[in-house]
Amino acid sequence: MTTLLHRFTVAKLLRVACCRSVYSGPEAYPVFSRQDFAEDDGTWEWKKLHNIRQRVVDIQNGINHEGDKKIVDDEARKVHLLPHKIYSKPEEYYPLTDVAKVVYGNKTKDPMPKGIKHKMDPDFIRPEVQDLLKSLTGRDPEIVFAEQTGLYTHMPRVRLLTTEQLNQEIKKMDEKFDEMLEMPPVMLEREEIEETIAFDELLDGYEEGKLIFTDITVDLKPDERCMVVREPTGLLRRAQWDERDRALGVYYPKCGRSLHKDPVFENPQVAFKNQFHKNILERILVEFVPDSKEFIHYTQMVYDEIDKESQYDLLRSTRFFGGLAFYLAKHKSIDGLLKNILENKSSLPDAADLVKLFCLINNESNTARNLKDLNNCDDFRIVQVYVQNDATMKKILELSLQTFQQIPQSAQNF
Amino acid sequence: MVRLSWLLLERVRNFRKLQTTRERLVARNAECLFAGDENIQVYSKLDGVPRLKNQYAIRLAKHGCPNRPFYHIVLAKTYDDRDTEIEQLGTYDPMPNINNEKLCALNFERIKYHIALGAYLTRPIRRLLGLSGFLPLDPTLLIFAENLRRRKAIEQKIKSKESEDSEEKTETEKEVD
Repeated sequence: MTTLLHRFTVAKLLRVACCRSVYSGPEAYPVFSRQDFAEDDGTWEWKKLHNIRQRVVDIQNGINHEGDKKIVDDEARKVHLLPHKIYSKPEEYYPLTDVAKVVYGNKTKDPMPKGIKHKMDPDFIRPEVQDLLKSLTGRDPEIVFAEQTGLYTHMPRVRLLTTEQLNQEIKKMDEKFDEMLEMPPVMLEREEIEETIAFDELLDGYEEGKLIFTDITVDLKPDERCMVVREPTGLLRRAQWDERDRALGVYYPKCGRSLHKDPVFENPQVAFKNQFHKNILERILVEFVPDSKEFIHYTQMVYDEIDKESQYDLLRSTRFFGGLAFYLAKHKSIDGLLKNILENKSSLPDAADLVKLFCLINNESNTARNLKDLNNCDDFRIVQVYVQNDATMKKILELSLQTFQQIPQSAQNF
Repeated sequence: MVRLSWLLLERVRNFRKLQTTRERLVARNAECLFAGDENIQVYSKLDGVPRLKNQYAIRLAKHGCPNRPFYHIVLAKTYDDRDTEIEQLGTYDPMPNINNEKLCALNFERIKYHIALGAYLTRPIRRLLGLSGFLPLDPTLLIFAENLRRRKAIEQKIKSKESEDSEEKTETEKEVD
């Protein structure tokens, strides 16, 4: 009796019980309390479903009860009510009939000429190098989630959580860390496009300027868009990368990109004085493509400035530290960074990670030959071998290394 | 169809030359048969495609400000106003920018579609599509370019003659002095 009652009927009964009068008689309506329904798992509908699911599982396992046939017939009747094909996207519900595509030809997809592809630096892609760069950047939440001027910040919220919920929130923050510290790619410089389509000599001198034609068909990626230039001499050629970026900026602008070059990238002395290195790198990321000449040239300019003034702390636990370390290791100028790690940060494993990076990128150096088994050596030994072989600031690094020298056991007992 | 005119008679009357001619129409590409005669002249338009009244046309619609034109490439009917449109197929900027470039945008997919369904292309559109390489070059453009080159050559000759005359004058003045 108690298990079959619905929750709303309980409230009704309680109301009725409160306004029970003398004339209604003793126990006209039964009085139930909340404790009687504590064992109730839910509404009767859910109970029925739970029962049916259990029954189905029993049938699959081979156990039979009364009334199995009815359940099986009901389930079987539901199947033909489902659509015969389950659509995953709304586009499949409403297929658009593009007459031109079907009857008159396909879209004007123009593949890039002569197999020009975007090439990543092969040393940067290796998972060992990526792991080392991530461990070097660090994960300081005060810097990663610091307030950014111009962005809207919410008021802080206080919530009571269980341990399981706490662990889930920590997992979410780890994923956010990876998002914020995602390194911009280091790519090889893109080759110039030099392809002529036609040369009409009879058109010589018809105009005094160039004509740039762009293709405005819908649903094309910027690599597939055809851009063509006709010069006043009558030459028809494909547009070069400068002209391509400018035309895309006119017809398909992106937030943060501008068509004209900012003189900050040419004369950044004032910005460097005020320690705006990170802002300039973010600006470069937004405005330029990682393939382009300008991106590579300007990022290397910023990295050289940081290396000169030894201001590595500006980029620590940001997304740009990996690029810094990779650039320095490639051009064999790690000594400033090593000194910073040993003196200011005073952590040997980070210094050993740097030297491991150097060995992975420069396989033919003296340190790599001497350190063939990197896992078996101590961190101290790894850095020592590097200082002896390939370091330019030898004496300074040896001095800073002495602090990490292990005291022999005989001296410890004193 | 190509229109020819035949010179039948030439006479002088009161010191005035008069000509009597007759015209006839001839199939296209057949005027080469009559090319040898001196008395025959070909009066055909080079762009000889007929333009109907009720026809879809791809043409330039002028927007912008006074002394600053800017054209939209537009699909419209021939009897519509210049600036009305059914669909926009691109833009054309006739004024060069800082880098001495003229920008033109063309939606080739939709242009293909409308040409296949029989749209009429006006002369500037034919020139632009020929310059972009989508269609073969328009002969009016080549004639225009050749005339420009001839005019420039003539102007250069005049300038060189004037400079020579001025040099001769200075030399003669010096000699006199």
